[in-house]
Amino acid sequence: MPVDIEQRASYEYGDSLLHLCDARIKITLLMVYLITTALLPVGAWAVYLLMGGVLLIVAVLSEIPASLLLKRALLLEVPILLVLIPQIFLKTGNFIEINPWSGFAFSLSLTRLERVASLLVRSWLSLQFAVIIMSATRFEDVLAGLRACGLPRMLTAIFGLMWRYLYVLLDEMHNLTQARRARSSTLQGSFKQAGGSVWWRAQVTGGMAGMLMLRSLDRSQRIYQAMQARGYDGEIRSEAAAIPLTKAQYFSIAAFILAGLLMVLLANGMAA
Amino acid sequence: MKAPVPMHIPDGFLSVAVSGILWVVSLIFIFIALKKAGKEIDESRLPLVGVLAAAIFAGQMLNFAVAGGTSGHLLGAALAVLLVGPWPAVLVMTSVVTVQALVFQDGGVLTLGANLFNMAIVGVAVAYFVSDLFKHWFGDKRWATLLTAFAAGWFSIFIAALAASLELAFSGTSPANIAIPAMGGIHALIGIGEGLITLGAVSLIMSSKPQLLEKKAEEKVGSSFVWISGLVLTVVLLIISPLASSKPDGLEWVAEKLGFLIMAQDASYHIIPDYVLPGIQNEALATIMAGAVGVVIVMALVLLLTRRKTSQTAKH
Repeated sequence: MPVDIEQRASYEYGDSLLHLCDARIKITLLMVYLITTALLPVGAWAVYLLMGGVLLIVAVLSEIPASLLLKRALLLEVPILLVLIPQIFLKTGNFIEINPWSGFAFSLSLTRLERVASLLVRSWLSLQFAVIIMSATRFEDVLAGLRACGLPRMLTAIFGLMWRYLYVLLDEMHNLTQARRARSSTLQGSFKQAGGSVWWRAQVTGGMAGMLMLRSLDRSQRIYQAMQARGYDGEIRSEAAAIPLTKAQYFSIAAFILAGLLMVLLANGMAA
Repeated sequence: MKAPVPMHIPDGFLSVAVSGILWVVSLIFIFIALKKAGKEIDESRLPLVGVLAAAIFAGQMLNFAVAGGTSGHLLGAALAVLLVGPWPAVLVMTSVVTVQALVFQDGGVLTLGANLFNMAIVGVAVAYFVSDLFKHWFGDKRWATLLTAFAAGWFSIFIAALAASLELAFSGTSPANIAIPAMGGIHALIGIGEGLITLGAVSLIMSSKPQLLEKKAEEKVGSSFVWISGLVLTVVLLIISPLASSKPDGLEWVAEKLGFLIMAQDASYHIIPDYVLPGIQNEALATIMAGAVGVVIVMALVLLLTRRKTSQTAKH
């Protein structure tokens, strides 16, 4: 089930090896891990286990409590599961018939079951790895790293501004929600919704969204004036991006890519 | 508080080929949007785009209860289009979807290209096309503006969901006859929530700052590209989706020929596209019916679980 947005908030303060590692290296490591995982064939369980081992090492290096990392990866979305699960009842490939009582039977496709299971495992590995990396990297550093990797200046600035005002606007949203709750409370344990029909509730929520937009537009005006007053020229400045990568860092990037390639080859070799 | 509109595809659900192609398409679109923005938007609109993105992200947390523990949410593509025009809206939604993926892991990193395509490009283009069409048809009386807001919201969600389901089907993640009815069906409902919230927001803005909703002068330039993209995406997805869901093996065959189905390359891949559903003779109908039944069962389970969860939180 989805977790509260605040609980998933990205950065977890720390001074572990992973925290101190250069953001550009971490972004490369993440991309290599994700692409490798996506390239692994169905049912390569031994290689999945190896990838899990890599994940475990990185998790240990991050020194972030495992419970927190696990909780943040609980993000399974319902419609995606609806799309995924029913296919295991298809009469596809290698399937068995299950006949729990007479007159009723359904088939269970083992081929599809393996596919769905592989997919879920790989999806979890990817998600969990992204959670670990992003929990150990400040978003400012991610942005500076992406800028160094060629993200356009304007997009970097927009992302940065969004990030800067994200929690300000989340607070605004909380205020609006609190005001609504104060005016239309629900009896405890009752499923009856207070305050009118669904139509009415939708209109109130729409009004709240509109108010949020108006406030954000007002705020953006003030921000621009403040930025001008400070001599803004559209570039965010960061030390991290300015330092060129060392030879050792280039070697480690090459090592990641090589290791990823080996994993894919190994998985395909075992499948063949 | 629940997660935002559930359309974000996680990592692992799309094949590398599908992810790669959609990355390229999205990057081209975003690049054009940046060029347009650089030309037309003076620096004063830069904070506007960033802060509006933050506002839409926050707005996605707003919800209203519908029934049985479900609730209406906002994605915001249509609202962004109505407020700032199509190209800046592409940038607003790009920021929202990217920050969601990078910071909150809502949607994958490798699949970010596809999620950008669905929400920042399909969502925005369709909302712009529909809103412009409705304005053209009905003028700008109050009721017409509200109808336009609703339609832009609903269509942006529904068509984006069709795009997402086709991507899942093309990746071999789920057969088209399950993916398309499931995603399309759910988002046809979710779209109503989107439409109603967009309508409510527009109605508030109309009565307090109507000049915000007027067509901007700079919007004219190059917007026909977005308009045509919206038209093409709407028509193509509306035609392909029912075709693909009635012939799921056809789509997988095409995907396999094009090399999309890396995960399906292992042997023993013979599709016999019929479920066990007694009593229905027509094979295509039986397939779709059985798919629908499967979806309903899983949805009922999910509803039951979420309902128990909400009743527990209500007690606290």
